[in-house]
Amino acid sequence: MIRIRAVLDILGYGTALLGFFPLCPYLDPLSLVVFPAAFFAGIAADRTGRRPASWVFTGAALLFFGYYFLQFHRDNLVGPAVNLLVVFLAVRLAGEKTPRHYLQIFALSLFALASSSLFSLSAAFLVFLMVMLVLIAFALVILTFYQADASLSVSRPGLGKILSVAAIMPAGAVPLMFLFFAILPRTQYPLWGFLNVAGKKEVGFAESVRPGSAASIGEARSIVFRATCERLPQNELYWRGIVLNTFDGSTWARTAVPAGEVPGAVRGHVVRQTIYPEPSRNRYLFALDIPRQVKGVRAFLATDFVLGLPSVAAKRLKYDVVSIISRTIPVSRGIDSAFYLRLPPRVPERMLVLGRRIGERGKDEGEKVRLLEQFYRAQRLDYATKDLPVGDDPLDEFLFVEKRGHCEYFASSFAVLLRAAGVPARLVGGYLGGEYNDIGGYYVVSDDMAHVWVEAYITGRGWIQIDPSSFAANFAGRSERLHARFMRRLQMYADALNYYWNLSVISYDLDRQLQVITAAGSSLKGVALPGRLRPALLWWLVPLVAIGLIPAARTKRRFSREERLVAQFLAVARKRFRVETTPATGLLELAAAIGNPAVDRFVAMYCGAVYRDRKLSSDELRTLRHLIRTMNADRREKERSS
Amino acid sequence: MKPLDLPKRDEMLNVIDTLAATYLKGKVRAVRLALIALLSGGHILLEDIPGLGKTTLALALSGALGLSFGRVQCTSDLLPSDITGLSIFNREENRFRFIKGPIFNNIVLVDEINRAMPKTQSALLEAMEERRVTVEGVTYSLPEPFLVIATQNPMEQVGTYPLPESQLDRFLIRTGIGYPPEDIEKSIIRYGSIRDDIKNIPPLVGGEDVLEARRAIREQVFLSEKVTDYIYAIVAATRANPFVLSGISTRGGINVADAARTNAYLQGRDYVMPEDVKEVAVPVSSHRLVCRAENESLDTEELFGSILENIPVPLA
Repeated sequence: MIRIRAVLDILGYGTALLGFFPLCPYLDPLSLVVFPAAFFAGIAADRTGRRPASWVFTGAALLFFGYYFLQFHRDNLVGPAVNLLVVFLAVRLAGEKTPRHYLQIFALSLFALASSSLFSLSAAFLVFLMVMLVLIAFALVILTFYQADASLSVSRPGLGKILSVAAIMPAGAVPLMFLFFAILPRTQYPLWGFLNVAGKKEVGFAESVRPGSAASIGEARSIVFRATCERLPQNELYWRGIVLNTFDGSTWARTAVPAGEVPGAVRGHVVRQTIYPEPSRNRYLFALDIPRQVKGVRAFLATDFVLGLPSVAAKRLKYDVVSIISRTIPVSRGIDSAFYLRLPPRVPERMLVLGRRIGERGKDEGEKVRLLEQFYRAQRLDYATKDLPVGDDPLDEFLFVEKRGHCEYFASSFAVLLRAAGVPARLVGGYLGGEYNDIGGYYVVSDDMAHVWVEAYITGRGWIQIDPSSFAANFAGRSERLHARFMRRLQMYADALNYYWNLSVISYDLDRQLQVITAAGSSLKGVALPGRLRPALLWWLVPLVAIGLIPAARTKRRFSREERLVAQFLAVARKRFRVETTPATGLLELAAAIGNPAVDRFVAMYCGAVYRDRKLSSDELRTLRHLIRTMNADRREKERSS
Repeated sequence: MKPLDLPKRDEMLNVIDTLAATYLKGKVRAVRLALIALLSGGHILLEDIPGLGKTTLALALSGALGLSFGRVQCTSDLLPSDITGLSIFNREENRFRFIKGPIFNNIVLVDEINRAMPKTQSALLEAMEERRVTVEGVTYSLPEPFLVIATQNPMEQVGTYPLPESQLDRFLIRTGIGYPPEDIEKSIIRYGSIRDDIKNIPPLVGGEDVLEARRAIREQVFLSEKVTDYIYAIVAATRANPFVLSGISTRGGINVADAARTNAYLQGRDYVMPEDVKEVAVPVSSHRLVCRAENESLDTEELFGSILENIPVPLA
């Protein structure tokens, strides 16, 4: 025997967890501590049956409310609300549980889960939502039993029966869900997480590079974009984003590109990519170095091969790019050298001296670059993300004192030195590398792959890509992330799920809906499946139809042939002859009221069998069905003649 | 629906048609119910004010059926022996001789039965049920077919002994006669009573025919399980009704089934339909309902009709 109460508790705690987990990454430390504590306290209290008086919980809830209420701010509405939701849920879990309280737990959990969609729209949300709906459906049914008798126990098969009945509700909701999915409008962005990023620091890619602004950088692994393309060697995966051409002494930024630069014809391996960026407020698009053509989005391609959007995208993007893998951008008519040699008024003395020296020693730009590379290698610099040089002259510190830094230090110092040596140079910001997901056939590029490299202009050749970070003593293997194979596989599956979710659900907007409808309309006109597809489709259809028919067959069997026949007859009587019938109306009375020969014959034959306690023979059945058809026809004729 | 050719059905219908068309204008329903009572082997209680043709009905029926007729006018000093008969000393033969009372007839009209005192009533009703009379230790069988047509005036209360429920239960059918339709009533007023004509009704059938018809009803008309269930549902519903103190007895159920069978027979069917039940249920059942004290004023016919309306007819 199983106590109903125990089942209800499990369902209650389960739904609470389902509400809490998706919100975890967005919660305050306070609620992150309070919830687990209350969760386990609740379980312990349920076990022992001892818990503090209810005013304690009310008081705690009020205190939390006050605390979060003070945090409410025009710019920070959702954060406190969500935390409050979680804390209330925690208080409910710890407190005493009457049926009303259970309902509150379910409602709060559902709200918590729903509010997580303000922050993120991942495929996991669907999974959580489905599981939660099933659990709540179960719980509501169990709750009715609990309400009737709190100490009720049921046998294992009894519980199974209850749960299987309860499962009908969510099962019935699934087809509705698909229907609504196809017709209802939806948002493509997590509403709050996207709109409310003002003041939030971007990790990874930024529109400016400022080495030395922080002692360490985070290792956030949120996905920036996914790109379907052929597999390429890791060191060719330079995703070009922005070109930074002006240095003010501390920050590299992008200013207007000098006019007159005409790129020449790039030669190399042509790669086509389709890129699906995650929503962000970034106005630059990424593509493999060097992008030549972009389709699917209104973007302009600057002369320094930066793909820019006119404004921040209002919806999820998808674009096709044709790139040519090349380390060189030929320039046909030369560049504005003065612009790319411009240095800030204050450059650390040691760097200026070093640059000048290299400029004097090198005969041409190519040699100067080589000399500088030799210097970098000789310095034995370390690639690091922690304990970074900060201070007034971080680059000087990086080159001569600390000798450790990340790509921003490498690239910006290299570019400054190049400029000091008289070589036009600029920084390119983007991403390096990518994890190939062979399930979905695409590269995943995450925030921690953000990278900055240098382009130097060599007369006669054009802009040459140089990655100073590769001169680091420990650079090899930097982009290799070591994971257990199994975990990696799992992650890939999870990411592929998200990828298809975005592709088919999130970015399924009005345009797509209209497309689907028009496509359905046109394909209905000429339904001709390709021969190859037909058997496959059949294999899928047969079990689906079979599953659909099982309940239908079961309900059919529940009604005898006679019952179905008489139901048909009554329907005809009501519809065609407009007679009112009640359950207490006999067939003979009906026939007398209608006064139609076909009806009379039907009733006589039918009653002759049924009220003699014998089944209708197949002959009779045929005749009776025919009579019903005649009645229909009779009626139509009468309508036509009148 | 083509009627079946059941034994003596045509003759019985002929009786109803002839009586209703010629002699008892506007009393088709009463005639029909009386015949149903006769063919089902039950008795009928006509409950109506005097002067609506109760006696005429009984006379006409007995005449057309070719059956013997007896009449008892009940008064408060009527003795049981006035009905059953009594032994009289025959001086010539020097012994008692039993003189049969009016009950020894095929059709007995018991007028104003509620005026007789309970002792007499109970003797009569016992004879109706048992179909025999025991006087001074000797049992005499009553003739077959045997039909009692009792009348009572529901209006008069003074000096009456209302029939107790247990006695009412012994009547198969209770019905009123009602006023005849206007034009028929006018013609009756104009041409006077037809009592004299009734004496001259030629017998259309005989006692044997009635018995044969009864046999046919009993043996050939089929009562299906579904209709039995339907009857049971009606009976059970009267017992569960909040206005009703005691519902229809098992005897009541049997009577409904019998009357429904007879109705099916008259319709030319060898099986009972729920409509047969519905048609006879009110006259057969309503007088058996005993309302609770606080609902005594309710009309049992209406009450029963409302119960009947809420019971679904078995259709399959």
